[in-house]
Amino acid sequence: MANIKADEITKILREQIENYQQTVAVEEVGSVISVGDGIARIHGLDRCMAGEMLAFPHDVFGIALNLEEDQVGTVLLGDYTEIREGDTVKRTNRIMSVPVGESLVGRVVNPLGQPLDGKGPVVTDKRNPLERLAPGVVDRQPVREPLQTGIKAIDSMIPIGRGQRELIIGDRQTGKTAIILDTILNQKGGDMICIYCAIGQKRSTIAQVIKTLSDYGALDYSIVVAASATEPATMQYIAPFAAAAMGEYFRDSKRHAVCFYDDLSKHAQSYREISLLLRRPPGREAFPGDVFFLHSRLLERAAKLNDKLGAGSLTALPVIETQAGDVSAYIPTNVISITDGQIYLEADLFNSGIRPAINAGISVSRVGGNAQTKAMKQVAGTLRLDMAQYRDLAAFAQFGTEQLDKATQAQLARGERLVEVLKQDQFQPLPVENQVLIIFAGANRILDDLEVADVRRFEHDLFPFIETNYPNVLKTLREKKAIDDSLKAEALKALGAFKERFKAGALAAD
Amino acid sequence: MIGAVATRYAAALAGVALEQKSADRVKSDLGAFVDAFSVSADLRNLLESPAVSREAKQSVVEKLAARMDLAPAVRNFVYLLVDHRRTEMLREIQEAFHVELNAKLGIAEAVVTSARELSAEEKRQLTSALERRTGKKIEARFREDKSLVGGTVVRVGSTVYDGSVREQLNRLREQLEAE
Repeated sequence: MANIKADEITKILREQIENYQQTVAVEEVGSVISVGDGIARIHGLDRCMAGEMLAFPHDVFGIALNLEEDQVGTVLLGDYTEIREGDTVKRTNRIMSVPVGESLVGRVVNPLGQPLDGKGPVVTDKRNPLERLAPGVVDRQPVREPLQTGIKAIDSMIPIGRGQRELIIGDRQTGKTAIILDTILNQKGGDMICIYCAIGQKRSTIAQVIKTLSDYGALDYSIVVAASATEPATMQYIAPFAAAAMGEYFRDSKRHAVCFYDDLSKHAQSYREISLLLRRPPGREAFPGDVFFLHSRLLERAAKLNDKLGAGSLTALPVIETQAGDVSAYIPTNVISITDGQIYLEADLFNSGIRPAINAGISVSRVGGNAQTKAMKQVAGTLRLDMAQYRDLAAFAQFGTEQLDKATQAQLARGERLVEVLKQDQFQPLPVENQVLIIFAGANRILDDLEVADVRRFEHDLFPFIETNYPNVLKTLREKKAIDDSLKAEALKALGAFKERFKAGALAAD
Repeated sequence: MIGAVATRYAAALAGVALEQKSADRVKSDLGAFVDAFSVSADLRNLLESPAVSREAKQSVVEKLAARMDLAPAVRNFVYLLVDHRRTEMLREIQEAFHVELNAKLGIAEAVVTSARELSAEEKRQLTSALERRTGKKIEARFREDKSLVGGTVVRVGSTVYDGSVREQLNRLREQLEAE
């Protein structure tokens, strides 16, 4: 560091003072009528804009949400205990914004962009407004690249495309956050920026997520925006908008980002709290009338931009927590109708050991199919059909299978093995080519004569074997992204060879 | 603090006053009645009590109006307030009436705070400068506040023009801190 002499400092200060512009400060001010519960009512400020930032004393800021005839209703950000009735409030002429840019990657921040991870200040000069109009129709193009989650059940049957909005819905403790974490881990080494937005969660849970991310080296390409349950409702309310603003920066600079909003039920609750305190009329389940618009304008910001705008994308994976499987409650139905499909997680499946507990029957992805690789499309078509038939039969055959004919029994056996194939441990995302290979094995009846209990061990041992003995199969799959006749023959040969060894090994182990 | 209800009544009265071209008379008469109302607890009790009949209240107001020589518009206005049981808002309505009347006549009230007392010439210059800037006739009230150190602070409505030395120093401090 260069030394600076005392007289130099004085010189700089003198210059500053001499060049100081003497201007009259023109400000619009109002005064606080009442304050409490994170809400302040202000008299004056006739020309205040909706959503404008207002400066309170003690460095507290507020957002103007209600503009009424004789007062302005605001929500306060930060510690409002020092604010008193009669305090002066100034207009700032700014709409609420958050810092965005490269330097946020790898950081944990609060919804205002202030660091929470003790790694020093976030250095960036770019800011994006919290609320921004979503890209218009002409600015977009259909989804065309896949967002690989690394989860077999999702990538095969409920594919997600970049720029899509896919809802993850389920009761508490069904593995919603686990799917998000796996998806983030699977982006390692890719070009995706992951933004995890925690809304109204326990601090311990958030700490757990951050630890997992950093343990697996996933924090290097992630941003965590955290508004925990202890934070005021205002912070929780703006958190997903802050995350979206950070994601939009990457979308607009020709890159790809994905936002995980975990979860929007708590977000709706914090918005309900604010709305009721601002005396907006309550509607169904006491939510305000614009709670649908609240979520639709947030999720509309996810987009795949057209080539002229750089073809960047922002994908949104919102989470909704249902109460006792009730998807017909107000917020779940709203968000289901806004998104391009949903991944439905069930407690029953989870408890019977099917993890991820995805109910493939009612989970859909309305646009992701376009983005699937050709190879995956080829194998997933039969998988979907087989699974659907299995579900029909399984319900029918619950009370015993002895009296059923051979064909039905075979169908059931296939189904049971496919269910095993779709099971996957946490934190073990699988590359697409491996997914294709194991589903290919299931579709081509390679697994039919294995014991159900052996299927997962078969899969586990399969990949190292193929990698060493038939490296061409995975390589061609990775590069060609389609299965032609020669590849099919080779894959069948490789799988056959491994099955023989596996069976011999299984016998030897007995 | 002026509520929405007071503003409605005041706007109606201001409209009548301007139509009858008796704004000044209405203003002073309303002021006189409000003063009487706030001085006399008996009058307040009588007009606000639900036990007293409407006719009794009206006759009292009529006699009072005759004694004080109130403009008919003001007398009728008080009748209306008695009927609507809004007499407790009289003071607020009076304030709102001033605001409404000023808005309709293009007058803005300004509060000028200065570090020392301004000379008559300075006051005149300041007022005309404000009139040029706001495009309205300025009715200024002058105050003194030593803590400004120097210069003046003018408040018109919710806009504050701060040219005080205190504000300049504050901003200089912010600038130096930000470097």
